[in-house]
Amino acid sequence: MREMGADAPFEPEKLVVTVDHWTPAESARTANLHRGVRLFAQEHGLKHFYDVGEGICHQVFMENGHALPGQLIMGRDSHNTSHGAVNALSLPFGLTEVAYLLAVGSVWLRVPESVRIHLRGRLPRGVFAKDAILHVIGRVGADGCTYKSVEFEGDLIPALSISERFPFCNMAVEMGAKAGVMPFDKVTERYLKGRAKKRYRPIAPDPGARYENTFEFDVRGLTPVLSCPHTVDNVKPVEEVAGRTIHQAFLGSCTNARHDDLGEAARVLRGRRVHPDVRLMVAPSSRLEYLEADRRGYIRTLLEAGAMILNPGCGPCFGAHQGILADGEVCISSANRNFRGRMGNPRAEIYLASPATVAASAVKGEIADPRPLLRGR
Amino acid sequence: MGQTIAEKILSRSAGLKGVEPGQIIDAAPDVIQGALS
Repeated sequence: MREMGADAPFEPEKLVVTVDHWTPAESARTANLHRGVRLFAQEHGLKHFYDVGEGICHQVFMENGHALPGQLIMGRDSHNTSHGAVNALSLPFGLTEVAYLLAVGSVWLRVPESVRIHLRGRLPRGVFAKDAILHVIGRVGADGCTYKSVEFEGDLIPALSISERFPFCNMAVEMGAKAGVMPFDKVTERYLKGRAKKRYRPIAPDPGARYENTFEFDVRGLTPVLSCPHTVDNVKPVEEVAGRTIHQAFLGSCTNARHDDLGEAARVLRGRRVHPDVRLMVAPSSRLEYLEADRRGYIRTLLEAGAMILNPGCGPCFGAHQGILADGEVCISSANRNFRGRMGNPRAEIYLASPATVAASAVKGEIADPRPLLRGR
Repeated sequence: MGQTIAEKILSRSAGLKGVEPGQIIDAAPDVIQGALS
């Protein structure tokens, strides 16, 4: 921004900054970077600055009411699409574009074509929102919605909490999408009550709106699925992958590490132990979600089962620290990417799944169907 | 012609009555997120 000749952000009151990657700092280089961000926030009097330990930017942004229906949100992280869960249009940009945006206050962009994804039916027991979005990505493909705005619709949506809508919008980018947007309804309204810091105006499509494509899904017959190495759209039902030995299990990331995700895992782990040859690591998505999971007893259940609890933040999701895999190791993860080397070692493998499937696999020491292990509701 | 959610939000953000897919616009966001995360 300074290289462009701007001394200060054009509209600092619009800026929300979270320090979430490489937290706490794993090196002097990162520590200096974090300090630079803190000094920037102080220098420009940023009202919305969340330092190390508060959590992952998308979660912190949502739970503090910065994302509102009808808003246009722009941000640097590729999973910025997440905020569509509350009916916002939230677009990821590159670093240079964001620097320009900070300096000028607006940015040129190409209006994307819109695509509809219609989700019909209710999820069967033991099948979760993560399974549904992985199933969608498997069918649509990693480049099936490149630079499209994806609008989710259908009678599944009203049955989903905002936390369950989050993975759909979060992982829209794994189909190449520029945005993923959910409709506004009473669930959205309830979530925003007490969080929204200003009035908002929900947006619905016009009856005659033009869509480039519509994908139809009936979720009633779904079974748990996994994204297999090394692409997110390499999706297979758990029956085809069950029995694959794992070495590490990760419950974390902006996709699936809220208290209900940890509760889903706790329902599997209660009264059981993590397999002795598996390391189970848990990184809650935010401090507030960590507190809520603790209040509900999920953290104790996870610890008693043998899990390691990490600080809120991105954790090992992107392979910088806190659980890099050894050569030949296999990890099952509730995160959003399984590209070769994503968790720090190109000679390791990553499978993506729901928190319940991650927990069941951690218990068995191999990829496992969570349904026989799920307790209660 | 009816508009999608994206087209409605981008129209407002660009100060235009309507936009078309493929159109280049100058859009101002309501919020900027995690720019330095």
